[in-house]
Amino acid sequence: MLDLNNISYKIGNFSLKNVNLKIKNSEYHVLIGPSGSGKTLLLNIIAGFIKPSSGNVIFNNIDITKLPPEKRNISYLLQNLALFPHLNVYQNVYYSLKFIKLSSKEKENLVRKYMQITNIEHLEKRYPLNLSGGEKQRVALARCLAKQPSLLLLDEPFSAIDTLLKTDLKSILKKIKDTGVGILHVTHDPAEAINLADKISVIENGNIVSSKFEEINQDVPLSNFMAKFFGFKNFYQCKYNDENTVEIVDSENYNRIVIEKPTNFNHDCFVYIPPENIIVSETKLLSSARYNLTATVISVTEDFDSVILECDAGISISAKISKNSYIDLNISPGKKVWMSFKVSNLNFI
Amino acid sequence: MWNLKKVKKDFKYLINYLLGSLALLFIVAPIINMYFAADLDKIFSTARDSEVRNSIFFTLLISFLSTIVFALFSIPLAYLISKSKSWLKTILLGLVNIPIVIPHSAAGIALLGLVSRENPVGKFASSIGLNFVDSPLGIAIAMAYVSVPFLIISAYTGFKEIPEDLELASRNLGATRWQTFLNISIPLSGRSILAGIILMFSRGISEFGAVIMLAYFPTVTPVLIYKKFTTHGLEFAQPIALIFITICLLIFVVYYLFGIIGKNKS
Repeated sequence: MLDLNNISYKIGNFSLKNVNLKIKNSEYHVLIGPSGSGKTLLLNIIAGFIKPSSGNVIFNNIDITKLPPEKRNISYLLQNLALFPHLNVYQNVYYSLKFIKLSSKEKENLVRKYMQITNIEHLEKRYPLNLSGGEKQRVALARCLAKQPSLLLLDEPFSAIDTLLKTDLKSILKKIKDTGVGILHVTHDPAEAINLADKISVIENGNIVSSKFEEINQDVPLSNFMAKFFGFKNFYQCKYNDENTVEIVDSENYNRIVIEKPTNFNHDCFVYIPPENIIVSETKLLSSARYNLTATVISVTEDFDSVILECDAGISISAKISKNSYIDLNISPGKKVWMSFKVSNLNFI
Repeated sequence: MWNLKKVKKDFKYLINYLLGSLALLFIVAPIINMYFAADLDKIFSTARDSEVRNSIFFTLLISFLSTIVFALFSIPLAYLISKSKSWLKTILLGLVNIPIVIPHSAAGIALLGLVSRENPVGKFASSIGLNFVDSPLGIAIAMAYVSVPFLIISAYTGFKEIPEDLELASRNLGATRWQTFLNISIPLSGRSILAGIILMFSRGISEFGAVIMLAYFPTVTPVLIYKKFTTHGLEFAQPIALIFITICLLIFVVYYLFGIIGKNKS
């Protein structure tokens, strides 16, 4: 569907260098990279806002490199959403059909359809100024979808919404993908994209340094790279051990532990346990957390409002706790603690 | 406790109030004096004078028409300057402001030189039946020349305040540059454009220096006030001036209220 061939572009001291990227129909492609790595610039080139200095953008087998943005059947959800403040929700969504040759009845039906999918029908007459962050997000998404694009570009779509809305939005995005729309999602936060992606590419300083999601399942170095590159804590290989257990392998030092097989484990893969989801306690908790590991605190790093504990539980595992908990538990290196997490905290890749 | 240091400091601060009040008084005193010294009978009789009424109506009409016609050219110019990323932008902004910084009578002379029949431009205009000297057309261009920067700068500021992402989103949603200009840029900077139009219109009706160089007749109100003053004296000029000031102040109040309402809304 989308094929970027040797895209290069220079702006000030920064440049995109021979970027190659392929996205297939119905593919959810996540492009991860730190701030300033060229993610948004690449999206702007795909959307046609910026002409690359060399290379081609091939979309559905047609070279669209020189095509103006309005002639590309690509929708772009900008990071700040860019809702038109002088138009109400209905008019904002309708705007994407305003310049298309369709009967007004057909246009209205499409607007209603996508307002329903994104669950914003009740907001029809409201103006962007009077919407919450999550509502704005859904309106912007409905507006992008109403023109029925073949490809949807998302620039950090989860950056300004809370966890509950993220889940909501993720399920909408999954539905959209299932309708055949390709999605290119750029983010600096690997955790947010982990359970959406069919394919992950990594961009660093204007270079795509990895686009080998298929290899993640066998290739340990790639996971190491990702872990180091993004400061990814708690990123492990997860291997079938026997019918009741799985092996968690620390790909940094190949240490391993065996834990009860999670109900949602299907095959060997990678697993990511967000440090903030790990509960730390002095004694074993009687709770709904299925996994309880004993660990020794190796190091303590104080952050602005939280504390990161590096622990040894057979594998190296990190937990992020509040400063108050840190003080209450009287934690210091060498202390024995319990680390608990739920099955739902295991993000399989 | 009485703090001597604080009093000294406050006393110094009071000087600001005093100096500021004098500046304000300087601005409003002539106007207030004019209203207090006004002879109501004379004002009513002047208001009934057909020469005065025709002149005021003519001035308002010409300024209105010249504002509307020149807005059609200046709004796109303001838009293009606001979107420009070239070094030329600063130069263009400087050029646009020229009429504000030169004496208006000199601007009138410059315009007269351009449109007089000795000049190729004037010759060409004359050949297609356009006469600028002593004609409403001349008055309109003189008014526009000195007042159009107010519209351009106001519209420019409005366009500049529109986040670029909104225009990009519009393009992405299928609108061409022109459709984006009409559907996004114009409505979003509408308040600034309208404020600029009111400013240009009110500046146009007040114009004397440039207008008198191109057209003594038909007589616009500022020229009529001058004519009455030089032929009949202050006594005859004052009532017309007062009526005209009142009209200008009313326009100004509309502009001001418009600005306040706009601010509150945003």
